Amino acid sequence: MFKALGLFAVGMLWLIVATTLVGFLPAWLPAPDVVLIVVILFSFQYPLPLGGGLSFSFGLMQDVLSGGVIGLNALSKMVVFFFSRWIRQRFYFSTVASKIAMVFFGGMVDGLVVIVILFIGGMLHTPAVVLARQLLFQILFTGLLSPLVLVITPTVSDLGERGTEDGFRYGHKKARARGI
Amino acid sequence: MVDLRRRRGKIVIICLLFCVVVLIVFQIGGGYEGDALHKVGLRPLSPWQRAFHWIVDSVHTAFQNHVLLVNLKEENRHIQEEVRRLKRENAELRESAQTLERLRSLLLLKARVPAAMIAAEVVAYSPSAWFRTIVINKGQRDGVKKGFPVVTLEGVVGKVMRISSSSSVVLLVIDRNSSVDCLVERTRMRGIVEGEGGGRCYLRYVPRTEDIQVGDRIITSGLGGIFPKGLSMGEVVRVEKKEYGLFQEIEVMPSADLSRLEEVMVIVSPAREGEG
Repeated sequence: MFKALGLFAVGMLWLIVATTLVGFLPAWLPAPDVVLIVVILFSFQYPLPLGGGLSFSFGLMQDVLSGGVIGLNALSKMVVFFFSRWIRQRFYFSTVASKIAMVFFGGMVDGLVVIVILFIGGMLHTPAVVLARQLLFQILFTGLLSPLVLVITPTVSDLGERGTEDGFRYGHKKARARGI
Repeated sequence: MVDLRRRRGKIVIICLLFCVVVLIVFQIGGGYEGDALHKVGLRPLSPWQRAFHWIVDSVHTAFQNHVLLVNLKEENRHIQEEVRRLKRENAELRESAQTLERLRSLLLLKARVPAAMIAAEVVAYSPSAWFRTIVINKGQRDGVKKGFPVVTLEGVVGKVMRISSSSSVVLLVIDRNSSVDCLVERTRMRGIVEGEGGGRCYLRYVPRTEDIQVGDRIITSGLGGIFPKGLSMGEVVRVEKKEYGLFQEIEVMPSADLSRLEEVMVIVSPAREGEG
């Protein structure tokens, strides 16, 4: 419980810092999705109830701070969390580069979920080409920012030693089989 | 027998997902706007945002005023100190002059627009790339209401979208959900300026037969009851007439520099539904 609260407090601080610093970026640059990086990190590091719950909470806070549809980012971040977990449980990720690649894929999934919901709700009037350009630009920008966060986190093989989750055990077994 | 205690976490997550989907459906369907949730969420966060904005602003100013100057002058300690002192004074004066200039422009705007206004400071920007919004430090307590237009001397910034007691979220004109009824100043042709989510807007529904040129100024029409007539919206930067279709594609660069907003004015007038 205390761990969850602590992580939530740190995450909120990170989100508030990001909302202030985004103001220093030029308007044509998309705001990097700092929550997405954190969600990817959680999917690598924490089990479903804790990581999923925190991803949901940060997505919800992102919705509140952006003034948009409440629940939109909460849902998309949960989808990204599950997607990232699903990928991680099937492939062995040990390098920071893999995690950064995961941020790119996660960004794509997040953007697609948001676009689909906004499109269904009739809230999207932007031409598809412009939308695709903006989405790619945003993913690229978020991906470029992600090393700052991901490089300081432990690798999956380290986490595998704890053996808290199936995915970690799977990764650990695979790593042992490879003699890592 | 399913062990519910072991699966408690998964059940909670599934319930959260279900609730959020229902909430989204309600909001998209127009049954609920989410105002209460925004208000509850913004209230505890806005003091932290303001505090951090103050810290960042102070560090930024200190860095600009002192650190850079110190690094540049290492040759002569005597002259360096003198230069540093003068530069610091100069920077402080320049900062004061810039602040005065910004405040003067706000006063000019106040004189130009015949409506009561409230000056507000921008304290944060949207953390989501899908919504182009800013947070200002004035809210319900200061008389701000939902739908109030937000402007600078350069032009239209947006309109108040969400409010809490001490802060408000402003939807910028470049957001995809923003639309403002406007006129082309030269030809008086009407159109709707819609955001595109990047740094620019589009003037929609202008027939392809109309003479629109790059450089034409776009102003608010006053229709819709939110923005007063004659406020500068932007300038036409690209006109494209395709071989098909009824309308031409007109790209507009907003007059206000939306990435450099520090102070804005909220026009206090009764908000009406129907625009934006």
